[in-house]
Amino acid sequence: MSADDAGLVRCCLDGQMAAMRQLIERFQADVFGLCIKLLNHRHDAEDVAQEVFFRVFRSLKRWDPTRPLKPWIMGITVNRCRTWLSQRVRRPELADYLHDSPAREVRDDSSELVAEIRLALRQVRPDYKAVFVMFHEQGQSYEDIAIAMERPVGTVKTWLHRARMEILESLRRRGMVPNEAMAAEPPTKRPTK
Amino acid sequence: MKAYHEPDDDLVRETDPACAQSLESLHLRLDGVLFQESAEVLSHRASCANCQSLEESSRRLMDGLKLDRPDAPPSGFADRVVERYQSEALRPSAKRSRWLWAGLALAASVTVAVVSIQLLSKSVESQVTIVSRPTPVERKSDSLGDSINDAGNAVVSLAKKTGLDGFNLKLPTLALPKTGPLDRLEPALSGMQSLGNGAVLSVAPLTNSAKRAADLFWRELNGPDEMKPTSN
Repeated sequence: MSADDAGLVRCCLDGQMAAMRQLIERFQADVFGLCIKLLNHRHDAEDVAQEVFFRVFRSLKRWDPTRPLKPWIMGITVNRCRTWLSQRVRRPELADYLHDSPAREVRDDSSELVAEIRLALRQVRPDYKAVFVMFHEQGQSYEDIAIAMERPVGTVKTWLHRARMEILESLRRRGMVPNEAMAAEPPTKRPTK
Repeated sequence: MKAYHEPDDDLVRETDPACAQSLESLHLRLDGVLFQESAEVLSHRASCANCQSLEESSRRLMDGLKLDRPDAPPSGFADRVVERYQSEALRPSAKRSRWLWAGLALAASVTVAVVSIQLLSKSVESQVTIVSRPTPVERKSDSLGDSINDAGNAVVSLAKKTGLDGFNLKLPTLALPKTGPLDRLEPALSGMQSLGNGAVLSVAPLTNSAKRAADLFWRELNGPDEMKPTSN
């Protein structure tokens, strides 16, 4: 737990707007980053990210200063995204990141690889995806992710490995692996359910 | 080393143990908890095209993750959140208002229910009368007539509990044999019908008002913006 976090929270609870702004700036990248990966929609991600911080400020009194702040905030983020996904009316998902990226006539290998990884990640189940994003893109530890997901560390590891496995197999299926490594069939069968 | 396969794993795997070990080792290396894979794993991977392929995929994945730029929040995001939170904090609490209005709605509905029952009792009074007994309603009845009278007292008791003081339900005087031709049961049948009607009349206003109050209460409580409750 960072003494800095506890001090910042105290200032927020005192109603200091500057402290609240600082708290948002400290965590907005991770919160928004997770929202956009889980929701696949920029506008929804902004709405949910705002809602996350409102909930954070309303619940700040209940935060235990002996626990780290970031996993607590990321836990609120995961829950809000879950709620949003369960309530969102089915509509064609627009790949906002494709619209946001600059138009390119020729796609280089790097951007294609990034696009393929993002595409593969979109197919992954939300809980697994959340763990993958928090681990690989945000550099959080198993333990912090376990707090955010409200699951044991063992489950977090399993979900991380499964998410990774799905992405690896997607990359192979879509030809993102050099030919000489594509000789064999994958060892896994498709999921039974 | 523990195999990747978990007892509750939903992926059905028919994997060579050496491949499973290689995969587990790969995952732990990608997790950053294993820095040096065993000679056994490396040896297997050198001779297994599938495991090599997975390792190559993982290398591409890690390269791609390094290249990917995280999606940044829109500019001015923090300012917007603070401004909006500040303006909501200055407004009277929307949630407190909803509770207040819900409470008022419930109190009003209960009042309406009580008044309705009182008015109803006055209109019913002119139609029927009953002799109410001071003794408790529940007792074992010896005859059909006693049973009907007991039921009538139960209805009166219920009506009183719902505030329907003065509610009177007149039953025909019954002197029924325990057995006999069906036509002699006519008064009893008529009495039972009166009982049924009386029970419905006494309870209906209360149940209707209570239902309306409950609907209004929950509508006010939930409000237009409230999302379903979550665990945080």
